[in-house]
Amino acid sequence: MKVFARLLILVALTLLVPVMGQAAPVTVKFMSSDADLPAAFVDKYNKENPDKITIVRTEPDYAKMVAEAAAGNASDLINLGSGSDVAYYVPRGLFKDLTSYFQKSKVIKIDDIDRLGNAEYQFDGKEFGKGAWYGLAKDYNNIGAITYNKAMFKAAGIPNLSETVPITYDELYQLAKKLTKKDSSGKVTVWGTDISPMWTKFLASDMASMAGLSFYADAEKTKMNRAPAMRDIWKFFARLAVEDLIPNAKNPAPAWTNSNFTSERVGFVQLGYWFGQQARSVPGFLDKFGWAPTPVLKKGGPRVTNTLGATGVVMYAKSKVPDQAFKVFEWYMGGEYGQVRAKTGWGIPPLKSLLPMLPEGDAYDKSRKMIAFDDAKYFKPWQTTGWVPTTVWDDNWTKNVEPLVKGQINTDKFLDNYFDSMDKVIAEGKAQLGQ
Amino acid sequence: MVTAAYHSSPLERHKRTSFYVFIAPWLFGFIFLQVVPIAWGFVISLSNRTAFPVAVKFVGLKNYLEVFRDPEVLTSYWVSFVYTVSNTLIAVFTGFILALLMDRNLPGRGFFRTILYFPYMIPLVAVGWIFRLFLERDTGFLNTVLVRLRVLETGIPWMQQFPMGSILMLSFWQAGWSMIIFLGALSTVPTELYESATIDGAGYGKRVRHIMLPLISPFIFFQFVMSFIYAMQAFLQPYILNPRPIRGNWVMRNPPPSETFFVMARGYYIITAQNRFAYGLAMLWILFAFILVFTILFVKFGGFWVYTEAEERR
Repeated sequence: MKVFARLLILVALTLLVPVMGQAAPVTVKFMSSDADLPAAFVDKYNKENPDKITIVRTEPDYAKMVAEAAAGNASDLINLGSGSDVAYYVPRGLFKDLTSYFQKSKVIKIDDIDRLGNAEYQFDGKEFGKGAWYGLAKDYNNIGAITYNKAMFKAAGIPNLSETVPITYDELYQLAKKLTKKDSSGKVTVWGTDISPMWTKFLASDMASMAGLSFYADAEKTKMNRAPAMRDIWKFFARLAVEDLIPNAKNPAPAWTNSNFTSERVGFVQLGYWFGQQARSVPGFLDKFGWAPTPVLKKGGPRVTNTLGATGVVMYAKSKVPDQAFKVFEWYMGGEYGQVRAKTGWGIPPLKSLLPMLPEGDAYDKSRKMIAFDDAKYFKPWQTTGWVPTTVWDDNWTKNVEPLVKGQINTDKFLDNYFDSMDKVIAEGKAQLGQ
Repeated sequence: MVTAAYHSSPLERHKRTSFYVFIAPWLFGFIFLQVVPIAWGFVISLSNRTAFPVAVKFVGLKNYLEVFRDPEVLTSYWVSFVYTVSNTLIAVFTGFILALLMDRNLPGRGFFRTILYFPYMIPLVAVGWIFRLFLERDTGFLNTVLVRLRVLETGIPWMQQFPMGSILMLSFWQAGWSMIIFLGALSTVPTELYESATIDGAGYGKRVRHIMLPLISPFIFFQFVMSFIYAMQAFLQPYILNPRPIRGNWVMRNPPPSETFFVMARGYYIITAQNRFAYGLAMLWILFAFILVFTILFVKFGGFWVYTEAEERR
């Protein structure tokens, strides 16, 4: 028995000697799509990095993130669809305050952060753009900017839009009306524009801010504002659906907004700078598509646009390897991969020092960049409430607007239902925090 | 008669030990991967817990009572029930008709049996996407054919106008499972009974009604019960055949319309999109209780029309 024990110790020591003195490799789990964290860059990082960190990409799945967070083992870094959800998750203890890391970092300097584009990643518990930093936008966009199909405009007798003077939302409505086409049976074959429920709240927020209105009736943001002027703004979007100027339950489009536009089923879209990169895959894109800034409420009136909160990266509060995760964060935002990404033109980079890297090799890129930079001067976080996650807005809009489109209820009833359903989920969100 | 001495014999003890050793892995999995999570789920349903626990407290049956006051959730139970009844009838009836056809001595019978069963082997996700493309308004195969044949003037948005009907089409497509069970059932009916009945002058209809259906009634009963249990838990179908546009691969982030927002799908949505763990779990426990009670009632009262050998002996 003694011989066996000695033998066992000898074997253990033999195995331990080679690894002694070496730092143990650390794995950093990064929840992100392959598009936002390409395998080639991950492989390169894992091969070359001197910090003995291995990045493991995990599939971005919201349900999985919720389940993992409930179990206390979510990914160390999380790609967040909209930074405005920071206001929802921070009180629930999901994200780590990165301010002290930012203060010490040589890659991410607080002075270098583009404050307007990253506003939703800084949160003081009540307002964006103040207090602690919880992450950064991977890149951001002026999501109200217009991309339009020049040939379709020409066929409808509409001149190209100005790249410097924004149209009004009333003009946008008229454009959509002129561009919408129906067949003899009344079926829509081409929609003037396509504003998905996902986008509606962002654009409505811009309009409300331009009109000096709030989505809410109270400072706590717990009750929807039902005042006539605010109702009119929501009605604007409902009207587009009812009149078949955008895809809807009665006249559905085959796909989501971007594909509907590139397949020439839609005259123009408001998707912003990032979409320009995607639209480059369309043959003849250079002459085919034109650009215009985010519309305004009144000619010459105030301009407001938003980033939808910008898709970005945050750190899980209970990460067991926060230091290593922050090294990956630095690499992702301002390191080699951050620089490569800035050059692709998929979005405006989060750091001011990376802005000159945006592509402007042709007139198309120059136009969309110029418009993006111009719109960026008027960024204002969209009027979300931290009581509910962003997606709940879309779901409530969709489920309430469909009966309106199908003619089962009128617009006022639709709005009352929408406000009621939002008030209900907001109250639930508030109760979840014991308030 | 088994004696106490036998129970305590070394052989019996060895057998008992072996039994527990062999089932230990399963027992371990059953207890820790099923019983414990299920019990945890029940405990959670009695609290106000969310995905991100803050200010968690015991609330008793509050969530359960709220379920019965929530019109959207009650609608989900109702549409699940409508779907379940429709799906069960479609699957059982179609499977029976197909089995009657395939039970005949026709040329190519084996080939057709395989073809008819084949759709059942295709994963539900793939079948769902096939139907999504099949039913699409502008480019879908169904509209293309109907417009070409001049049955329709223009394409119909099937999924938007008939969301429940679109999902029920899958029931026809997947009737192969029922057909296979019925084919097995039909093979258990003694041919002598048919021959005797024929000699006595019974036609095809009478043979089916008085011989075939009573003898295969246990199989029909089995299918009704199983189909009910599975259909009440339908989950993926409403998400995949969601009439609303899906952005990229965000299939599960897009809730379906109320007409097809089945209870399992809504439970998933409430838990993962609204983060309301306790409420979602309470909803699903009620679903479990409903299925359990219905199955017990079905077994208790359904037995009257089911033929069994035991009954004959009694």
